[in-house]
Amino acid sequence: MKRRQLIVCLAVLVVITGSCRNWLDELPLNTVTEDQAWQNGSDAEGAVAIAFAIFRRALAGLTKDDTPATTRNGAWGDHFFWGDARSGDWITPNNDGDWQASFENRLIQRTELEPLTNWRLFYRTIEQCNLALEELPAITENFSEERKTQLLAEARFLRAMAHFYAARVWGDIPINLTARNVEPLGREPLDAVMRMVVEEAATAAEGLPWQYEGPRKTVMSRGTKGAALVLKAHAHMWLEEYEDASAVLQQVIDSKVFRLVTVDEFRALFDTGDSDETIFHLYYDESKGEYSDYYGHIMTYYLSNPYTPRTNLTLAVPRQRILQIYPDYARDRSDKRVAAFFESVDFSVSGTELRPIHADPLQNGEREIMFAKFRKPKDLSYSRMDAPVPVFRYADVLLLKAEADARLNRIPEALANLNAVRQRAGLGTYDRIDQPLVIEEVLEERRRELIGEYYRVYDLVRLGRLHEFNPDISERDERIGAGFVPVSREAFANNPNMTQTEYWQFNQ
Amino acid sequence: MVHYMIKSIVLFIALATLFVSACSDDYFADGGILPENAGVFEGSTLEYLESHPETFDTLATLIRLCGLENAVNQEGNTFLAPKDYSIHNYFKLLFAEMDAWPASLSDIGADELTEIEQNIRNYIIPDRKIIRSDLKTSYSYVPTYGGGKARFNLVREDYLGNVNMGAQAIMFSLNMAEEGQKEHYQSVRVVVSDLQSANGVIQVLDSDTHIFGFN
Repeated sequence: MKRRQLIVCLAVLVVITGSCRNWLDELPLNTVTEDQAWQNGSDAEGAVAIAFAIFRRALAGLTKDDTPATTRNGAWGDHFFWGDARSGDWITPNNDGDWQASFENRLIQRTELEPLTNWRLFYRTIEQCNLALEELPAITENFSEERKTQLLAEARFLRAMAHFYAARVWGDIPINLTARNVEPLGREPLDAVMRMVVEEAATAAEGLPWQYEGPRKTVMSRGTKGAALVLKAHAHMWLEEYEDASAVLQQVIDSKVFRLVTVDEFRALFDTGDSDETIFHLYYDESKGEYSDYYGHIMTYYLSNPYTPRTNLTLAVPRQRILQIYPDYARDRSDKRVAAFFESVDFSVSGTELRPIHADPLQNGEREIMFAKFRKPKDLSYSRMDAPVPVFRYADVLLLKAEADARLNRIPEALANLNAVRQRAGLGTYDRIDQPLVIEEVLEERRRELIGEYYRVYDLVRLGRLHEFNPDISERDERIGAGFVPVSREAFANNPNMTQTEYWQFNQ
Repeated sequence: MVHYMIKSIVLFIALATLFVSACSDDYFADGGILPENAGVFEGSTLEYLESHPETFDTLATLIRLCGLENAVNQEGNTFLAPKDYSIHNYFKLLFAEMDAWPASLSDIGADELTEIEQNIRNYIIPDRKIIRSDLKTSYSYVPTYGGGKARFNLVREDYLGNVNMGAQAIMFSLNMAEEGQKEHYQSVRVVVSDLQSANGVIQVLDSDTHIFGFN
C-alpha cells in the first residue's frame, strides 16, 4: 500500500514539474520599470502631473492607509491644522478633542494628530520632482523642446513649493535636491531653505508661461510664472528682504493676468476656484470623481445642514471674535465679507429637512455661526465637496505687497493696495500714514480677507507673533520653535542626523 | 464500543446541563416601558438642581443670589435648565479679561446680577408643564416669567435611513428682538427632557452650543 502511495506521489510530481514553463520568469508587458518609465512625452506629462497629485494629497494629510500610527478614516485637511487652527480665532462648538488639542498646540500627545506631524508626502512630492528633473532632459520622443522646458520648470517650481510649504509648517527642514537620495539628511536652517526657494523659484519662473490654455480652475493648479513669482516673494518676506519681495510682486501685478473679483463673484472663487483671482490652488473636480465624503475634506467640519447631513458644527469662529476681527461690520455692517463668509442656520428645524438660513449672518449665538466661505450645493450630501485648497490668490499678493511697502516706509504705495482690497469689501479708504499703524492694519486686513485660507498662522509665525494671539503659546516658547509643528517619529528612523525642534524636545 | 457510547452520552448530558443551566434570558428581556414615575424627583426643582452640583451648582447659586427660588419652585411651571458650562461661557463674554472675573459668585456686581436675573426669568415658563409628547414639529408659543416670548417645537432625526424615525428632541427658542422690531428667535436643543420635580418640569439644555442668556 505504501508503495502505491509513493508511485502516485511521484507521478503527480512528474506531471506538475513537467508542466512548468519558464514564462513565469518573464516580466509581464504591463509592468513599468524605471528604464521604461521615461520614454516619451506622455510619460513626462504623467510624471509631472503625479507630482502635483502627491502634493495635493500631502496638503490633505495622511490617512490610516498611509500610516499605521493613526486610525483616521480619510484625510482631515491638515492644511487647516497647520495654517489656521492655532491662530486663536477658532473654536470647536461640539467640543471635539482633536481640534481642541490642536488649537492649544498640544500636537504630540494625541495619536490622531500624529499624521499632521509627518512630512512624508512632502518629500515624496520632492522626490518625484527630482526624478522628473533628472530624467526629462533625455526624453525626445513626442516631446517638443518648448514643452520640455515648461515641464522642467514646473517640476522645479513644485519642488521649491513643497520645500517652502514644509518649511512654514516645520521650520528647519531637510533640503533634498537629488533624485534617489539615500543619504540621511539633516535639517537645514529655515533661512537656508527660503534662500534655496528664492533661487529655484526665480529659475522656474523663467521657463513658465503666465497661463496655459484651458479653464482657469485647471490651469491655475499647475506651475505658472505668476505662482513661481508669488512663491519667490513669500520666501523673500520670510527672509525680511522686503525690497525684493515688493519688486517681484509688482511684476505679478503688472502682468494684468489676475484681478480682484467682485464680492458677487466670490462663489466661483471659493467653491470651484474658477476665477481670475486664483493664482495657485489644488482643485478637486467632482465630475472626475475627485471629491471627498464624510472624512477627507475640511468642509466636513465647517459645514452642516443644509449643505451636508451633519446637524452640528465642529469648527467655527465665535460671534464675539467675528465682531472683533471685522470692526467695521460691528459698527455699521459695512464689511460685505462677513455676509459672504459666515451664515446662521435655523437650528430649530429638523435635521432631516434643508434648514433655512437667517438673513442676519450673525444671528445665531456665540458658538453656532457657520463658517461658509467654502460651500457646496444645498443637498444634504457629503459628495460634491470639491472646493479647492487655496495656496495663493491675488488679494494675498496685494496685501503682501502692501506689507512689504509699509515696512519700507513707502506708505502711499502700501495704502493703494490695502485700499483696493478694502474697497472691494465695501469699506472706506484707510488714510492713516504712521508706519507702525499701517503695518498693523495690513496684517489685520490679511486676517479679515484670508480667514480660513491657511495663511494666518504662517503670517504670525513669520513675524514671531503667534504668542500674542494664541494664549497657549508663550513668547519664550515661540522663540524656541513652539510655532512650528513637531517632527514625527517616522523621520527619525535610520536617520542619525535628524533633530527635534527645541520646544518639542521638552513638551512631549 | 458500548463503553465509548455511554461515555460520550454522559459527556454530552453533562455539557448540555452546563450550557442550559448557564442560560439566563434576563439579557434579552428589555425592561419594557419606563414606569410612570421614573423621571420624578421627590423634591422641588431647585432641590433637584442642587442634588446635581457637578452640572448645576453655579446655576443653583445664581438662582439663590437673584432671589428667584420661589419662581423656580412655583407649582406647575417648567424650568429650562442651562448647565454650568453655558454659564461659564457667558462669564467669558461678560468678563473679557481674566482679571475682571469676580472672586466668587457673591462678588458679582449689581448691574451684572440684574442682567443674570432677567436671563434666568426667561428660562422659567410659569403655570405650564412643557412635555415632549405634547409638542409638535410646528411651533407653539408661550410667554416666559421674564416677559419674553418662548417658542417650542420638536425636531426629528432619521434612523438608519428611515426618514423621521430617529430621536426626537425639544427645541426651545427665545425671541431676541428688541421691543417693536421684527421677531427673531435663537434656539437651543433640550438634551435631557421631561424630568419631573415635586412642583414642575425640568428640561436640561445643550451646553455645547448654548450660552446662558443666548448672549
